[in-house]
Amino acid sequence: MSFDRRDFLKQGLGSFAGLALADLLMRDGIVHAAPKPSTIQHHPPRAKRVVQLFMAGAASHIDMFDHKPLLDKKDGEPWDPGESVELFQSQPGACFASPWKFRPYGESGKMLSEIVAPLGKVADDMAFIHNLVGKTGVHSQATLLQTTGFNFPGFPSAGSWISYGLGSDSDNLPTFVVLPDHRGFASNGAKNWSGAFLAAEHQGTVIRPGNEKPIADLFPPPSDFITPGSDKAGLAALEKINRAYAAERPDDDRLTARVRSYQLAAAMQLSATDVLDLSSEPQHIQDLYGLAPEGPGVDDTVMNVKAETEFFGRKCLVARRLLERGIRFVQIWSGNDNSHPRRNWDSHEDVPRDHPPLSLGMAHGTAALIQDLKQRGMLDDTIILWTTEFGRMPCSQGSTGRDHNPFTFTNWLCGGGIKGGTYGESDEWGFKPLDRNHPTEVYDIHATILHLLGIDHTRLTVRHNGIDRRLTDVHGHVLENMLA
Amino acid sequence: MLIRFSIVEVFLIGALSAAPTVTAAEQPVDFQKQIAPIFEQHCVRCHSPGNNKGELSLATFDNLQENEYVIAGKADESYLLEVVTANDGDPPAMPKEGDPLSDDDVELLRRWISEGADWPSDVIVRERSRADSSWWSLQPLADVEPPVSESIPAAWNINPIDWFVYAKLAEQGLQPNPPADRRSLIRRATYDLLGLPPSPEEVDAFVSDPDPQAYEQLIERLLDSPHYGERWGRHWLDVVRFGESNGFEKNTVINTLWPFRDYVIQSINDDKPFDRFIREHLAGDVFGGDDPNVAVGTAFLVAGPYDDVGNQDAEQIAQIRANTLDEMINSTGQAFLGMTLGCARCHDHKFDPITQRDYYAMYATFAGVRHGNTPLATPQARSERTALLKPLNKRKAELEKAQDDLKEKILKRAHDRLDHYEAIWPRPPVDRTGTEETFEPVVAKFVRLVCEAQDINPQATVFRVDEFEIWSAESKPRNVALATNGGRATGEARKIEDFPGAYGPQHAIDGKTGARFISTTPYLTIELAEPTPINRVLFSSARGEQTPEHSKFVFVADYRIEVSDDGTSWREVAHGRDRRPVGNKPDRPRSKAEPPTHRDHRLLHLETTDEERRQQAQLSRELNTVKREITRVPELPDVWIGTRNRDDAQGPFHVFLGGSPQKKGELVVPASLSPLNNVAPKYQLPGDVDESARRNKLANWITDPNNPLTPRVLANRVWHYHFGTGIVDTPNDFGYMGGRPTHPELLDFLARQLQQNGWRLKAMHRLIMTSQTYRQSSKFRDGAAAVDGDSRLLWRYPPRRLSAEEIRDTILSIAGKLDQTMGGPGFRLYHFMQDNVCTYVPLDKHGPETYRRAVYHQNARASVVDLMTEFDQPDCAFSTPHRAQTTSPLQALTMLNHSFTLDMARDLAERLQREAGKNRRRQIARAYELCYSRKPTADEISACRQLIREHNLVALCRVLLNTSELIYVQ
Repeated sequence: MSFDRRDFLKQGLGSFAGLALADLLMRDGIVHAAPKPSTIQHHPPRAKRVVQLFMAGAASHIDMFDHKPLLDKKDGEPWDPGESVELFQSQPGACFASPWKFRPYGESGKMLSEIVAPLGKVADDMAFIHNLVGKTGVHSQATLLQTTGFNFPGFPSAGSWISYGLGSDSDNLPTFVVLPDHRGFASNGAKNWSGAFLAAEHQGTVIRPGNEKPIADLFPPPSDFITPGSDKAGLAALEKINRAYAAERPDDDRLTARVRSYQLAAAMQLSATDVLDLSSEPQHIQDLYGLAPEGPGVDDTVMNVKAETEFFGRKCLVARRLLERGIRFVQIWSGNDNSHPRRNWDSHEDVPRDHPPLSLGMAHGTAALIQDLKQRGMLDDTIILWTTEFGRMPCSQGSTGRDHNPFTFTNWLCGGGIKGGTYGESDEWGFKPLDRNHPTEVYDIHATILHLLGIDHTRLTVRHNGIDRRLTDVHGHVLENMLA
Repeated sequence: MLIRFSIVEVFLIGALSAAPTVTAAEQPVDFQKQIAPIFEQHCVRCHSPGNNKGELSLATFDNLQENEYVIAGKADESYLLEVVTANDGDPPAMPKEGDPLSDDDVELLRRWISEGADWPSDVIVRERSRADSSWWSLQPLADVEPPVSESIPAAWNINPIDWFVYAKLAEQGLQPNPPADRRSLIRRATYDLLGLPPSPEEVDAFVSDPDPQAYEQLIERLLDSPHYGERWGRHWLDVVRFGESNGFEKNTVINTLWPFRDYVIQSINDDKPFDRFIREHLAGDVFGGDDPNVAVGTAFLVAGPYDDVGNQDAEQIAQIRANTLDEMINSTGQAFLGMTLGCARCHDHKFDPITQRDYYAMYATFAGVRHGNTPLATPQARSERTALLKPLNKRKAELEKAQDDLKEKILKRAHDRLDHYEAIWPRPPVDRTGTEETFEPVVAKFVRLVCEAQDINPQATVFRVDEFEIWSAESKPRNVALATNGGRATGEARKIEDFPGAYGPQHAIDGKTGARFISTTPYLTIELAEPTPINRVLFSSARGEQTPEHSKFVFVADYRIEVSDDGTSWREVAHGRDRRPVGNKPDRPRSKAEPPTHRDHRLLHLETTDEERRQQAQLSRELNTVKREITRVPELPDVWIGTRNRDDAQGPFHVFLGGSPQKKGELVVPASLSPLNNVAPKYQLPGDVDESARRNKLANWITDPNNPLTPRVLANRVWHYHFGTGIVDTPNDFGYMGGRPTHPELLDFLARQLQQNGWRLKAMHRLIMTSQTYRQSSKFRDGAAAVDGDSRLLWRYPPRRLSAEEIRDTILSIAGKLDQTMGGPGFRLYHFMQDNVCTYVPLDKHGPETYRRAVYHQNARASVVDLMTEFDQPDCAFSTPHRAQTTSPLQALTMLNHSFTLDMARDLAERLQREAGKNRRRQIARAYELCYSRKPTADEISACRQLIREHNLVALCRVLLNTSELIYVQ
């Protein structure tokens, strides 16, 4: 018989597996026995957890968050920024005004585009950085830079560093969870949540909400020899054997850790199933996040707003449930890495075709997450970071596409001790930072996030091959003016 | 003047030379003795050519003078003094990090400026590294006498290793453990040397062997096993960051690197002298004559990740190239020398005495190497192949010439009648942005486009279409092809596994452009909702595109439109053969290898006589035969050893200031590393010497008997793999940031032994494994642990967890499923897909083709493979000197529930039934012998029996595969 998640849910938590595992858990009282991993904190934290929203393929800052009236004026005219322009794959076309209207939101009057309108409700909470600079217009390296702080492979993800620094706040769920786009991984795939030279426990765990098997190997596949009874008896026997082996070697804490890892695995079967069961969410919450009545099977033969809202909203809602259960770092991806036809933000050919469904879906889910965290009092200690690989050019590629712009792009943060506002402007084109000598870099953002978590980014180090490695390499300044 | 110091550097630790503080006032200030140390201690860390914060360097006088930081003779007007002086209670602006200058230092500066600010031009101020050339690991190998301990037990008084270890224990008042029992010993030794469990028969034989030399014989047997090379080869592959994909962007899999893995395994099984092995890694293609088995070693140079994306920007190209060479330099330093050379890329090494010059001398050494394939073969194989090919190629050329001549003859005739032909092509050529055909109204249920010639290569018939419209012959015409009007498109399309329909025919009738149908046959067929009168079609591949000429919009050149009632018998209603031919870039002379232009393609078709057609057919038959014979001559095997490029190696080479290829500093030439100048024979090569000579020279220098690092690093690695921790616990770093040796004399003794034994590892294994230190039990003792908790002094054998590979190999082995085939292309535990990018999807089900030893897995970088990744198999983005040993719930879930474990549980159960019959007690006993090399206790038997009785034997096997005892070696 199969331990399919649906069966599991059908039978409820009082069913066989639930009982088996609950037995184990109660007998051992492991919830209390859990030794907390040591936490590296250098000052009192403002925040406890982080959500990173990642737009794969590079979202267009000037079509979403960074309003450029000059482009409206010069639309269609030859673009002359007064210097040579190196593009990734094309020659600069004419000025290309955003196809969408911007209007002011909130008390701050922040100008946001139609395709992120749902975020207008929370505009005052958001801290925009429009002068973020990247290092290259190559997708994989730009993605790595944002996820790991290095544009080379081989370094731990920010989530892994935070797992390493803060340890787990949950007994039975992983510390760092990744919710990938259901259509596939973004550039670099698993490297974006790799623990690299940190221990394997710090790597991101992939959970696929809405998928039949949301977590790999959470339950055994169908087989003729595993029954609920044999599973329970087997686990009990295993526990006994491993305990006895550990008891003879009381010095070796690896062995007790191993006994515990199986208990946690069992606990995870329960809690992961529970965290993914959105049916317990009241209808108004499901609506808030924009879940489609037909669920993850919603028709997306052609990319559309309804489907994108369902996909992203579901991940946001699962993220909130994960955060409630003590997950430290959730990484949510929008878009995959397959370029034709577009299922990501890399709108070389057609911004008006590809951006609206992705953007409106993202904005809906994100706004819901922010509002929901707020109403639960969790926004105060949860940091939300919206990021992407780089921006897109103010000039056109073809007639309605935009090429890569690593020279300036937008990130925004929210919650967790961050003050809303705009910190760092791009120039009048959205081409480069307004003050070219003082751009913001990903290191600064990582330093700020670590700071809010109570960590001095210069002191969270791991020696690897003779070098004290940091998330921020040898760079990074806390963005002090952004702190509430 | 206002100077901004924009960035605070926070990482570095400064030099620590003492500045003299008291000077007799009457003596003029001596720059070198009094001022330079101040700059060295307080300033150059952030203000040097490689790191000129505020665009200021204090390495030489230039910047100070240019920026008027120092105005000779005018101390009060010199800005330098202002920034280092406290002002109104505020601390001085500089230095930003570290202590302010003392008042005496400031006074000295003032006097120096007042006296004219003399800075001799030959004095360059550099930051000093923490360690200098007196660092322990840079010293010659010591001739050590093993220490004598009076109280040493007789058994410990035989092997010199034990003398060293015992002496250290005695210093701490510690005693070693008694010897391990034979069962533990054979298990330990077998895992250590083979990475596999001993069979129950081997255990029994060893335990009951009365020969006092039984243990020594066991070691010999294990060293002779070919599995030894698989185990120790895997260690070495970790060290040389062997990974079989490029790691960047597309992360393309590399299918020609496995010969290097086989070479490593074979070399280790052969006990090849390691100095030679190392030299082969760096320059096997240089000194190995034409022996492919030697040249393959240089795959080391290119076995790491590298960026193959390319760039339009010359500066970026230079940066990428520098990154690629940096990877080679770093890997060389770590693997052979235990040095972090990469730290000297942007500035002199902060901790070890490695200068930027040293780093860029290495840069010049490797400059001729690029990633890629090179065919590897013996001269004999090459000449045999040439001999076989020669007559075939000659015949091929003759036939091709005959074909061309015939073609030319026909074309010439056709060109003479060009007017005639052009008259039958009155219509405009096809247009990728929209090609239209109108025809008499006809009722059709099916309409299809048939490609007769493609517009890029007219000999091909595949094409792309973004939209295909079919208009009804009605008063208000409708596009009846549209899916929304009931149209249905079919046609074989390019497929992407993880994105079905990405290029499917539905794109041709979705009413939208931008996405295209990519055909793999000449057909696109539209079935209409119902039989409809139609009279017009309009189709395109680049509608609305600004650059329709781009090859991604490849289109039809000759075509026909056909209709049908039933989808089987077709009638032509329109064609494009009366259109003018497409351009086909006629402005450019075409080589014979290229397809003909569209015009010539047509002319050939129309002008050829029946007789000529027969001749052509005959020629192409013969040509095909010859080509087939050519393909039967085996190719020379391509191997990923990189390419060697004279142009890249062309100097001159410079230091890159701050690591930037755009900022060239002093000239460098290929040379040895300066920190060993006093120890090993140093060299400098002329800048224009052949790149092969540079690598060869470096290889000889690294393995020179007087180079102390190489044998120390290697001996330490061997020790590390036997005991879990090295004498130096950072096997890749013997510098300031690395660990210090727990037994420095022993390390030098072992390094000497290594050299004296001809750099052969097997002798080292014998020496180590026959020591009492190695043979003692792993039993824990509170008292000893209180003194030495990590057993670094080896009062016991430190138990270890098996590596990911060992765990998988063990499970396969005890289930009786391990496929012992050695060598050849690797297997994959992922499904590999490639379209615009490469995707590695872990397999849910591992078939028998994956039941080989894990060392033969094709380890693509960043491909997550369940059990292997969960148990800390490294990604090999960098050299991996030691494996992590984590324990996590996800590991437990993978071990419990992955179909691999379940398959193996079933196989183990079958094996138990096969080998132990139906008797449960015997099944259980057999299981324990297989899994743990021991017999079960009575309690264990009864617990196991209960599980079998109440459930089944497979359930028990699943449990056993998950036990700690299976994966820990005591």
